[in-house]
Amino acid sequence: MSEDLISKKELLDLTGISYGQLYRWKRKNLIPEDWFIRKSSFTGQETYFPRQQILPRIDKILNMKDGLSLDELADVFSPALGEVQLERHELLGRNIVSEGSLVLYKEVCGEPAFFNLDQTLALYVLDKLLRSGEITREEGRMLLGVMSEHYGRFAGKPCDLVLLRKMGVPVFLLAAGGTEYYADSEAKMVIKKPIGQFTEELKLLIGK
Amino acid sequence: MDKSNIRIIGEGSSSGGDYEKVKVVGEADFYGDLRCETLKITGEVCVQGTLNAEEVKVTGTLRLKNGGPAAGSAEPLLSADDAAEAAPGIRAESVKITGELTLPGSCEAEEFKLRGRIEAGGVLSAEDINIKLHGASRVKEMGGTNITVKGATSVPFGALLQMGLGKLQAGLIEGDDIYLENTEADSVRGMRVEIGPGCRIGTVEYRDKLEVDSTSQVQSEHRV
Repeated sequence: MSEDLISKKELLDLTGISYGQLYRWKRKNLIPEDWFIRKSSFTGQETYFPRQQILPRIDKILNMKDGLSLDELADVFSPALGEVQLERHELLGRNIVSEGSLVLYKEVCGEPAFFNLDQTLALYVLDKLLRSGEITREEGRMLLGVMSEHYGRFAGKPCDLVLLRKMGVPVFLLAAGGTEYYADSEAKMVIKKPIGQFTEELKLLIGK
Repeated sequence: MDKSNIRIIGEGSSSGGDYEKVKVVGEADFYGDLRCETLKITGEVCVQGTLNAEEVKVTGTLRLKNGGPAAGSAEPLLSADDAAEAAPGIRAESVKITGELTLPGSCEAEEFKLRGRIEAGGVLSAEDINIKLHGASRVKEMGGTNITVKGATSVPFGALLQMGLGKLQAGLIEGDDIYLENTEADSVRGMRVEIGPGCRIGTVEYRDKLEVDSTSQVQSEHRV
């Protein structure tokens, strides 16, 4: 058995949730269909989940469920972005992004009258990565280019943001979720993050 | 634009689509996915595709099946599991059926009530599942909070007339509170499980409570 899978039974024991809750959350799309991995075992069919993904998700559902209805929660977890228009001062005032990132955004993409969710997401990803020191300003420009040009192609499907560096030369990739890719040994994978993680955080920030 | 209603009385067909209220009295075929607020059927309906509705009420027969290319075309063959995932299913808030429900895929609802027989190739998932069996039923998997399956006879001596009828066959049944009658299942997992008369269960895993009727067989039981 692979280390990264957790059986349904183990999951219920660990988190204290019930069968009913699990089925309800699946119906409400709080837990994506493709996380349910069916395998046959000696007791018949057993369902497994990717441990790294299901545990934080259940934790989030349990912690947020008091404030939001299940349907609202489903929107948070859905990788698709809804309709939102935010102005510059709102983004700053609500601490969604910092001044520095907005300036950089303006240099690359110009300044729109308001930001739609795709643009806000690009800004938010930029801001987070700049703040954490994972990318430089120059790489930030590339990131914005990649996000504004290609993110729309995924049309709400899950995808990963990948940053490779080889001999100091950065390359950004947007790859469909769950794909495997291998680079040569000198290339270093600096960042590999699901965009869904950013959309979830962003939606919570905007929702506040 | 407001969505329109469909009303079929007698015999008729539709290509499917997006509607507010759909009502059938008689016999109807829908040649495609059907989405609506309410679907009320008295009679027999076949939907070639998935069904998405708030409320489904059937007195008679509702059958879902694969639409698309006609039989014999070069459709790539899926494995049985994949086919069940992608196969036409039902998504609704409430499903109430008196009669027969057949679908190759899954049925998801908050409330599921059936008096009659069901044949489902996928998962039957609902907050409350309430089944009264008339005739041989088969479901691959059932999951929910409260699951009740009863052999349908409240008539005195009815049991004598209905011998061998009203059986449910299931692979897996999972829920918080489960009560089963006349059910054959490979495994049953739940918090509180009561196995009523006429059952044959492979494995029962339970957390709080298990009761087994003396006329039923359980091969192995585990408290977890």
